Parts: sequence; C-alpha cells; structure tokens
Amino acid sequence: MSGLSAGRLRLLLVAFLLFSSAVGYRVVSFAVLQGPVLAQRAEAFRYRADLVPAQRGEILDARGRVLATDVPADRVSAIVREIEDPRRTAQLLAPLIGRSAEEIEAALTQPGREWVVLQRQLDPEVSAQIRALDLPGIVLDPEPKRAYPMGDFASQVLGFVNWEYRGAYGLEAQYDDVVGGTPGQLVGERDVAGNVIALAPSSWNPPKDGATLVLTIDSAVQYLAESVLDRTIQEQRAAGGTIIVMDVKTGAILAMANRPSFDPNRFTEVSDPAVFANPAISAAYEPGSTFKVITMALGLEAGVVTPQTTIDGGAYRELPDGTRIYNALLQAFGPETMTDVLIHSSNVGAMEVVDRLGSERFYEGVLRFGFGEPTGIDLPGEVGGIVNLPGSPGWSLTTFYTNAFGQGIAVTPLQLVTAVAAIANGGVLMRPYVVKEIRDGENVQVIQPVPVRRVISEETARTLGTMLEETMQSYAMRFSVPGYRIAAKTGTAEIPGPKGYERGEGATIASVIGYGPVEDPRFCVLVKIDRPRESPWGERAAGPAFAEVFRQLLLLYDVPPSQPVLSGGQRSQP
Amino acid sequence: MVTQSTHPTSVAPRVTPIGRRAVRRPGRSWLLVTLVLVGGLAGLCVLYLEQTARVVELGYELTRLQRERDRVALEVAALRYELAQRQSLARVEDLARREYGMVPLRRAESLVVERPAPTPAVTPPAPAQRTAWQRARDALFGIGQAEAGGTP
Repeated sequence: MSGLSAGRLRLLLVAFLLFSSAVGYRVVSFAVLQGPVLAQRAEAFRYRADLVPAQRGEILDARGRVLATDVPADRVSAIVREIEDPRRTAQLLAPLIGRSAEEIEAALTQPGREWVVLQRQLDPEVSAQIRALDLPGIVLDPEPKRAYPMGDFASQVLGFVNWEYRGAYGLEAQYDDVVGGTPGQLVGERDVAGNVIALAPSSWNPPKDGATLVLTIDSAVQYLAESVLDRTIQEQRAAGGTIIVMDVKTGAILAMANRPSFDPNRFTEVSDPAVFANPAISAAYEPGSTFKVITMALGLEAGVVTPQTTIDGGAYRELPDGTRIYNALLQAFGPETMTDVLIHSSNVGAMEVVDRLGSERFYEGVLRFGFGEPTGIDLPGEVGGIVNLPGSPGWSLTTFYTNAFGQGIAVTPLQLVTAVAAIANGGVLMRPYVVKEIRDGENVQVIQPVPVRRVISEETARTLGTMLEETMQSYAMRFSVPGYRIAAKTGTAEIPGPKGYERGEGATIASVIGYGPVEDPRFCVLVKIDRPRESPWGERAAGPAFAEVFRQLLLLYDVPPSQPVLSGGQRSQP
Repeated sequence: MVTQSTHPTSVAPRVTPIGRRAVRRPGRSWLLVTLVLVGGLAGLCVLYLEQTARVVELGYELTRLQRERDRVALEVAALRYELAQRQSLARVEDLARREYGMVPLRRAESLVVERPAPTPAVTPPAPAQRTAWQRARDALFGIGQAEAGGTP
C-alpha cells in the first residue's frame, strides 16, 4: 500500500469518524437530550383531544312552537402561509361572507399570523359556495349557531347566545347551565386525514345535550300583545311600551311584550345595548293612578274605608308645610264615595285613604304586595323598584301623600301586574314565572306555581273587584269589553326628570291595569305606553289597547261572555 | 454358546426391498414440527392481520357513519328551523291576509244554544239466568259467555 493510499485512508477514516460523531450526536440529542420533549410532541401530534360541542336545548312556547333552536353553520378561516393569491382569494370571498375585499386581503397578509378567522356562523348555502371555490388555504369548520325563527318575537324574554355560545340576557342567560349542556371530549390517535385510528387507545367522553325549556309564554297571546302594542305605539306616536298578560291563578306569564325590541338573530347590529334588557322587569317607573288600586286595597283591608265611605276633599290637599297636592287638571269632584275616588281617579281621595291608614300600615302593606323587592321571576336583571320608607333620606310627608296615587314611588311593570293579580286571585300573591317545564331527556321537571303570601282577605279582594268593575264601566265611552265583567284602573303618570317632573308633549306614561272576568278572574293585563304624543291620558292612549287585548284573549281561551251584548257592542246593565 | 437347530425349519422367502431402505432420520421430525409450528404461526399472523385490518376498516366505517349522522342531524336541525319559521305567526297572518283575504276578528257574538234534555240511559237487559245443568255443561265443554256492557 502506497503512502498516498494510507493518507487517503486516514482522511477517509477521519471523515468517517466526523460523520459518525455528527450522526451519533444527533442520535443522542434526539434520543436522550430532547427525547422526552420530542416524544411528547409526537404524541401530541398523533393524539388529539377534540371538544365535542353539546347540542343546546330548544326553547318552546306553551303551545310547542319553537322559539329558539340550533342550526348548522360554518366558520371560514385561512391558513395564511397556504394562501397563494391573497387578492384573488379576498375578491372571491368578499361577496359571500359580507366583508370587503380590502378587509379580507388585509387579514390574509398580516405578518406573523398563521391562522385567521374570516367569518363565523355562515349559512350552509354560503358554505357550499365557498367549498365549490376550492381556494387553497381556506378551510371551513362546523360550529353551532343559535337561531330564533320568529325574529324579534319575545326577544327580551328569550335573550340571545353570544359568540362564545353562552347565553346572554333573558332566558338564554338565566338557564344557560340547563339549556347549554356539557361538551364532550374525544381523545384518540389520528391518521393524516384526522380520522381516529380504531386500533389505538382512545377515550370518548360523550357530550350531554342541553335540556329543552317549555315556557308559559303562549305565542298566540304574545303575538296579540306585540301586534296591539305596535299599533298603539304607532297611533300614539309613543316612544315605547310594555304589555304583560298573567294567569292570575298561577302567576304564569302568558305574554311579555316590549317595544323597542331587537332581533336576537342580529344582536351584533344593535347600536344601543340597553335594548337587550327587559324593561318589564328592569325598568322601574312611577305607576301613577294605577297604584290607587293598591292604596284602596290597603284601606279596605284595614277597615279605614268602605266602598260607601264618602269624602269631600276639594281640588287639593294642603300639607302642614303649606305644600298643596292637587287632583289632575285641578278638578274638585265634590262629595265622592271610595268607588267614585277610583272612577274619578281622585288624588285627594287616595291621599285621604293613606291619611286614615297612617304611614306604618301603608308602607307595611306596600311591601306586603311585593313592591320594593324583585318578584323572583326566573329572568335575569330584575330590579326591586324604589319605595322610600319613613326615616329614609328620600322620604318626606309629601312623598307619603304622593305615594298614595303612585307618584314618588318606582315599580316595575311586572311588580304591578303581580300585585293586582293577587287581588284577582282572592288576595294570594303568586310568584311569576316563565318556564313551566324542563325536559332533560326522559326526565321532565314540571315547575309548580308558588304562592308567596296572602296580602289581603278574600272579602277585600271581592269588594275591590266590584269597585274596579264599576270603574271599568265608567270608561265605556273610550273602551270596553262587551259581554264580560272586567275590573280595571287607568293611570297617567308624570315622568320625573333632573328638574322635577317633565312637562309638555310626550311627558307621561299612560297605562291601564285590570283583570277579568270578575266572577272568576283568569287574566291580569297591563298596558303601558311610554310618552304618547297623541294623548297623554291612560284612558285614551292605553285603554283601547287594553280592551283589544282582553277581547282577543277571552276569545282565544274560549271564555264565554257572562252578559248579553246589545247591538252596537254595548253591554246591558246588570 | 450358540446352538443351532438341526430340524429343518421353514424358511420364509427373502424379500429384497426395492428402492432405498427406509432410514430413520431424527432431524426430519423436527423439521416437520417446525414447519407445522411456522405454518401455524403464519396462520395466526394472517388471522391477526386480517382481524386488525378488519378493525381498522370498521373504525373508518364508524367515522364515516358518525359524520353521516352528524350531517343528517344538521339537516334535521335546518329543516326544523325552516318549519319553525313557516309557523311564525307573523308569516301566518301575512299569508292569511294576502293569499286568502282573511281579516282579523273584530266582533264575536255568542249564541245561546239550548242543550237537549239528556235521554235516560238505556239499561241493558239482564242476562238470562242459566240453569245448573247449563252451567255444568258449559264448564264441561269449556263454553264461555261474554257480556256486552257500556258503550264501545
């Protein structure tokens, strides 16, 4: 062997040793130094834990109509590095996903981003169109979408589901744990296409679908209430309003209509989030003369007045400090019975009742009727209203007397309905509720009505019912429910502002509250119209709507008239 | 010492084996056993592979069926949503007004209808009393009797 050959051999040996060392180093590095980390990464690559979303339960009305359900939808995303032509991709996607081409192109060319979500909750038709484009780097993933088939129907009762698929507002929020279900998880070894390899060990924790809620809301009554409310607001050029219909025997809410409202399918387009709240339970207002029903109930219950008790208070009451509190339009009614006090809606008469009651008994009664605290309805965001009790900073003698006719006190529409429904229910206050059944697979939980307490005696309730029936008859020129005995009271409340009560056009809340049929009360209805501009008065602005709701309601529930109806719709006098 | 018989003996004809003599080779049986074992093992392996392939195949089939089920579930959800939309009262009212010319009920009149006086219930005739002889005969021959009662 020549010396040159030996040199070459040595060179080869050195090269081989170097190469072997390098390979050895890499082997040791992969196997020993980085071994655990790489093994973990490999396992993570092969084993993937997929969250399996639970199906959100449906929300049905009392007649079984679907008010909220899940529909298939897709999310379109882009793997940025795989996008071949961002401009063309953006131009093709723009008309389909409702974003501008410039916006999409900017998203696709963001530096340092690997993944970008372009649009969510796409309809299946749009998804099919995108799939047909077969754009490189564009992927579609299924995701659940909550849908409300009837649009803005009872939207403030239902609420909506946000981007995180959690309930926000209304029943969706209140019953999120019940309706939302529990997501499952699938952990398994995957092949390249993402399929679970059956031979490899895997674990499957199935999702638990959400329960279905059945509401007390009757879609027919809700539709009636919303239609009447829309018409009335338009006719009166009002700012908004609320109509509540309650089953007086159980406290079940049959309708809770509010305006303005929103379409929960398009909650992202709402500019003022305040509209998401349910004003029937979250917006306290001064109820005005409708509160005289409560004042009179307390006076009768305490025995300080009877329907025949007569007073002659003039046009105003003068307080010791010289403050004068007047009747509406400064009217003086002369001698009037307590029934007349309700018919005339006499502030002086109501003040006389609380004067005889005294503040302690009056406020004890007001609290007993449930004012000043939430009713406990199964809806989120309920407020308790404002009742300034003697001794509190907001209370004064003026407050005491104005509270008698529903000013200086703030109640929610639901509180008022619940309190008047208690009178209709023979004096027993019921807790209002909107969910009557929870269907969780085979388990069906039926919600039972909850009596809260007795607030007045049956005798007082009956007496007041007769007085309110006469009051309703006095409105016959404006509105009536022919053939039926209805008890009702109107109210025209002033709206407090930073500088005292507002004045001028659209500065009142017009309302009517009542129940019927008097002989066997079934429904309590409140119609509240905010800031009517055609007429500020409850009798004119809210009365016709009240009668319309009652007429249709009684027809809908097949309640036969108790009195013959004369031609022209006038009822014969009993 | 070896003695030899002097008596003539019948000698069997010598048979000369044709071909190779059968030689007992001890390694041959081992080969056979090995072949059987290898064959058996190969069979088991094939069986295992067959089973494995079948399980994998079923796994993919299961995945496909799950996807199909999900697709059908989504389709059902979409149809249910469409049904709910069509049941929307606003849509129903619009349809009733536009296509059928219906108008909302404005006035309803209740008519007092005289309910006809209830007719006395017809008492079914009492079944004829059977004699002891008839009862014994029926019991003997297994004859049963049914009675019609109430309204169908």
